[in-house]
Amino acid sequence: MLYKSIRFKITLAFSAVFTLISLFSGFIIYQNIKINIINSDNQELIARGQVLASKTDISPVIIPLANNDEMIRIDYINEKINKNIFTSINFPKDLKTQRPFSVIDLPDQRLALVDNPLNQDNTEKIRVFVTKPNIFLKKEISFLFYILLFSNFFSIILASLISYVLAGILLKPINNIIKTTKTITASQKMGFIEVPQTFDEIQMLSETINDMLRRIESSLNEQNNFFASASHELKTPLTILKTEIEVNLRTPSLSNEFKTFLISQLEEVSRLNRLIEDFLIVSQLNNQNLTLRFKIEPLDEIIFDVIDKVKSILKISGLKLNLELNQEIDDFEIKCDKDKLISVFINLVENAIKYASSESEIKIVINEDKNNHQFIIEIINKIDHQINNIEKLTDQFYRSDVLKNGYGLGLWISNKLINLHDSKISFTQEKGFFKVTVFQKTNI
Amino acid sequence: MKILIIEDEIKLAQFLKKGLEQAGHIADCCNNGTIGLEMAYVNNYDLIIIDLMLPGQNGYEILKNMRDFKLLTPVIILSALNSTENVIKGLDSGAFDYIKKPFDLDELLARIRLIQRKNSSESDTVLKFEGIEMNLISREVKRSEKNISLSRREFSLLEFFMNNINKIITKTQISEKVWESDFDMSSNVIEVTVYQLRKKIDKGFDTPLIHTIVNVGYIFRTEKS
Repeated sequence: MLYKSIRFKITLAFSAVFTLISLFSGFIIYQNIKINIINSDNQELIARGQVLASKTDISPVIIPLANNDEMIRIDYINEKINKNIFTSINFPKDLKTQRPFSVIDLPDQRLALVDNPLNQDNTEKIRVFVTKPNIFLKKEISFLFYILLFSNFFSIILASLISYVLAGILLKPINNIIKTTKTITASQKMGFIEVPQTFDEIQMLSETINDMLRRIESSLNEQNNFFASASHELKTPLTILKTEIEVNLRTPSLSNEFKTFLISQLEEVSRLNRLIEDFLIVSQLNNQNLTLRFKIEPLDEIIFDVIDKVKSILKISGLKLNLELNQEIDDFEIKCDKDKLISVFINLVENAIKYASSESEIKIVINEDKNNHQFIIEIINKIDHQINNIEKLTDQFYRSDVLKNGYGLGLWISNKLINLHDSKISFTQEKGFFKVTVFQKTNI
Repeated sequence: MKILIIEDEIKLAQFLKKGLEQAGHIADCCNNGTIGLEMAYVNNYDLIIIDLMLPGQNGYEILKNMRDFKLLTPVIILSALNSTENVIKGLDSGAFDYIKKPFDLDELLARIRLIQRKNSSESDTVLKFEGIEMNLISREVKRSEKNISLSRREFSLLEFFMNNINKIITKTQISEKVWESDFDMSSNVIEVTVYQLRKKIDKGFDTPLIHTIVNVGYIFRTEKS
């Protein structure tokens, strides 16, 4: 994701601008130096022509010696004739018209034309053509081209690197903000990001984020307080309802019909109570302020307590319960928060009861996996239909069967609570049976 | 037992009074902490059930004042404040028990029976047989002066055995009396719990006390008896 970062974009923009400027200025410099080199070469060749012309004489005819790489042609010109006095072998033919004291480029040579007047009115003169190979000039210009190209390329790379480093330094406070913000979690006591005293936009941004975090913290605390006080307030009428029903159920003269009605009401009150408990746990889990109190407890007793709590709905459902404890287990002790673990297993067993085929059996099996220091608790029930999206069962508010009672929180809570015990929960289905397996660590 | 209920929810207090009276107790109600403390001091109650959030004095203040007045009546706190901190604070303030609202009336009556037992003589609260001493209040178990640690179900099972010495006990009876539920007969819960209890009670001692009667159940006795 580097190419999406602001640092990369700054580097890219800076490098693009620098490349354009650098190439443009490099081109101008190249052109200027190139012209200067050619001009200097022209002057040198014209000067050489003048030297040769000055050394030339007509009567008697004196021809100066050309250098090895030079070729010369010497003409005598007056008003009547244009006579060639000397021409080097291989001197180019078919010359184009050329002004005196100028240089023209031939395919491999440079050619200068110099006139040397022999009298004052310029009617009689010696005309010298001198050539020299242009390879040295070409090499010099080519060298100039490559050195400028290389230095441009090198400076662009260097500028990109420097801009990348500088962008990194400039953006460091923002990266620090991102890093700190990532570690801040929604809880009662939220962390805040460090405000750099730079008196710039970064400081403003940090202060603005901290203001926002303070507002979130305050709203979370309000929400949490609401859950705590709402749950407390709701428990009082629930207690009154429950006690009233329980006291009435003890009346000896109660008709069977009314008794059934009261038992059903009692069930609903218990369900409402568990719902309130669940909402409280959800808010605590979401705010990460759920405190578990770990103590050494016997796992078999926990399961017995769970069975005790679900026995009335088990009776109504008409299902059988089969509990199998492995006889080889010496010690059922585990380190856990007993209340939380009981609520997890109540939830799992209630689910098994809710989704089991009618007149079937719920089976709870406890085995020990000594090598991994854990108990394996399996809750198995027969099912009429395959459960779709089994992996989504622990999602918050997910309901596999919308026609059944429930609000899609139970398994999510159970999974979270089991994870807080450093343990795992898994769901499988095979040949018409649904199985929940809890891998409960013996020690945390 | 003569019980005082200090609870500001009048309806709850009335139903609780009715429930306690159905169970054979005598109950008075009061919906203010300060008045409740006065009533506790003036009348001689066997037990006081208090809520924590009360007008006048709150539950903790009542407990503190009771202890300052050297009033040692056992107290059960009945509160909707469910956090462990509140439970610890309540028990540390001198309450005998802390029951969270909403509560099961059966559970409350069972806790009251425990207090009743505590007030009884030792002959009613300590069971003895063949070197086993079982204190139903402190829940301590010893055999030949050696302390034995039992889980809640194992304790209930041993208590059931100790109350039925030399009698054949069926699995169904154990299931009903100790677990108060009827498991599917293919469950091995009873066998495993009896096995665990045997390891603690009989292992390492000369005389085994728990004997299996195949296809029937168990009997608790010495071989010679």
